[in-house]
Amino acid sequence: METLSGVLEALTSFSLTLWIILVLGVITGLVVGVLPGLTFVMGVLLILPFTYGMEPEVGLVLMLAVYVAGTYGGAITSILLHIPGEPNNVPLLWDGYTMTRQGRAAEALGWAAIAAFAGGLVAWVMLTFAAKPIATVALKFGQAEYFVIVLLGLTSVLALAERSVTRSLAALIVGMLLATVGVDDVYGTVRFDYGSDILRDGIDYLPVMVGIYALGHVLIRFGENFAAENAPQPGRVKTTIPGLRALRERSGSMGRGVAVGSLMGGVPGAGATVASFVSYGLEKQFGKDRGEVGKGSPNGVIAPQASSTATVGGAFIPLLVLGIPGSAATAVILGALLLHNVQPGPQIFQTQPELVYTIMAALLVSVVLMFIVGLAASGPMVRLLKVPEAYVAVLIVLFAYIGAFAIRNSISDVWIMTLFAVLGFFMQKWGYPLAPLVLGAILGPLAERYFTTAMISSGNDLSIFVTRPISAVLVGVWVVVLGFLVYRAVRQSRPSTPSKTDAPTDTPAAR
Amino acid sequence: MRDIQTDRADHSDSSRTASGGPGAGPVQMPAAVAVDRRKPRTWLKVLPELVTLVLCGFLWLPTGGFTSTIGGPGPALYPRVLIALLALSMVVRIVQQVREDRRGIAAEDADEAPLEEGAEFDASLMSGRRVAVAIALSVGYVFATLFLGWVVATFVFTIVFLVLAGKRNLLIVVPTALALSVGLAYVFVRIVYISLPTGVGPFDLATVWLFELLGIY
Repeated sequence: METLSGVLEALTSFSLTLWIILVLGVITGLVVGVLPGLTFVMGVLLILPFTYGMEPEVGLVLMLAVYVAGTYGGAITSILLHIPGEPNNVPLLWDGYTMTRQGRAAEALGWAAIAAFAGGLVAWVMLTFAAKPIATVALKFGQAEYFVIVLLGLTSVLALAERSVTRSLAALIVGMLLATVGVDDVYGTVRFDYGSDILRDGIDYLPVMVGIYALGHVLIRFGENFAAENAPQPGRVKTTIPGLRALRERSGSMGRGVAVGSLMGGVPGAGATVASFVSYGLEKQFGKDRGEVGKGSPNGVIAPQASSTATVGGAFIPLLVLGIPGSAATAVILGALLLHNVQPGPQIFQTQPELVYTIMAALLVSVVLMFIVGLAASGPMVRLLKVPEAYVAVLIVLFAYIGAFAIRNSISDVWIMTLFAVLGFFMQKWGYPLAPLVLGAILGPLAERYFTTAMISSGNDLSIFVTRPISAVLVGVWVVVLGFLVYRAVRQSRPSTPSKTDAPTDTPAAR
Repeated sequence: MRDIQTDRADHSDSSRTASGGPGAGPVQMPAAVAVDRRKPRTWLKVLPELVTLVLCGFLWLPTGGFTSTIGGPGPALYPRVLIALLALSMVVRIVQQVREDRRGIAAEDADEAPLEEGAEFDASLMSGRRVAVAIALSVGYVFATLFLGWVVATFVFTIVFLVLAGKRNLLIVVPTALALSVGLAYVFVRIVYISLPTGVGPFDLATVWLFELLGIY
């Protein structure tokens, strides 16, 4: 209740600047979602340099609005034109576009809008009501508990690997090794600098992310000559909002979608894309209308979209309360928080409550604005696709340069960004996924710091991880996840084991 | 990789046709020769893994110098565990690839290879030459910003990029390049206070003059 009143108070004291930023952020997120050349992770990354000159809460609100709206924007073009604006919109092709071909585009668009709205509302409820209780529990966490949580996060990245566990492990380790370059957090020892000042300053994960997600993507698309499907533009874009009875009928699918999204949002290996695919898979296997899914069933639109947007809440909680990002986009937001000298963690409710309440209020406003603007502007947004991708690509490169440069006002970060764009391209060519590398670079240093300080305080006694009760429980959960991971790895190494679901073969791009 | 394979095939074919007479058609390779032809392919396939394995060795060397007098596990333990795990995963990958190739000797056309190798993008759409151009452009752009300054380098880069991407209408490209380079400089230098590079010598002078003209400085 205290949280809710804090949120309402924050909402009523929003300045005009904040409102303008919210509207701009939502529009940007929707545009980013629509344009196939831009993902919402890239959107949040590329908007980062704009936030340097802003107050922390304004910058955060901007990134949050882009993030939320970005999970929905691409639904429109997926449904109308078979062009997924974002990887998490790919499942919407299978039923959404089919509905368009059946002349039910307006219905599909309506369901997507409602599902995104529901997912966003659940995200807000989770953040507002679950964050503080989790923070209270987290206050009891020591370094040992934090280490096991990060270890869980690292293991789940592997357990959720799309293809080869071994390749994901290798990519993850490369990311973690990168983060060891430079001055060690705990001991102050300089590692792997090879006498270079650039390396001595360390490799920040933000330029790595900008290189891999933004510039790397442009390299690939340039290599493909920006080849794209040429879909005819629809004449008029209409959306039909479903009535209450229809909502009740589909509530199961909606509920499953938001549940999957909320849970998966907090897992570092899973973001909106994984949640969306998992949700669709569940609907096809267990949903009430499972026979219809894939043939133009609204459930095939509702579940993935609701789950994509719901991940925002799930991802924000560990970010704010533990300082551990639950997704790539929240990792960028963590970077922004740190750059503004805001230290997330359970104490944030005591040290910066206004910031927390502002974020919660902003999430609610973003969800509502996303719904309204998304509905009102579907037509113009579809017309955005006429912009040739090459122009979008140039913009991405320029923003990538500025984004990398602005982190420390240093050209060396731009070089790191460029290096990882190229390295990322080759890694993908050789079959190594990039998301684990990024997550390794983010979670790796956290793991080391927590492990080392836990060991120092216990006098090098490893049993601390199992003698502390909360840590012991977490270790138990970790063992289960590890077991699942080993099972997957062994199954994969068996000959001729089909490794993917029966879903169509659209391959999701890097999250 | 495919080119190298073709070269070896041509070589073997020509040696066969030399004995079979000119104009002999495609020859069926006996299994033994097919295996030999596959060996170089496997080595090439695991080249990245082999190189990484060697790199692991190089990375291990400096860890001996990571010491500290404070207690605890020390600054060397963590990187060493990671390097060991990475080396292990490379060995596993190499073994997996060799086993896959042995099993896949009876496998059909090489067009399936891109998907089997697990490339994360569709290799059939990709032109290696174009990617090389994109990489060269990107690296060149960063270099250029150091010497020409961000504004001039961006103006030139934008035009070159768009033209190479097939947008040849200079009436649109050049004004776009101008708007982007000057506009973004204004936003980021004046409003966000990022000190983008101004270049050296005459370019530095030109950039500063431009910034003063636009009220950025």
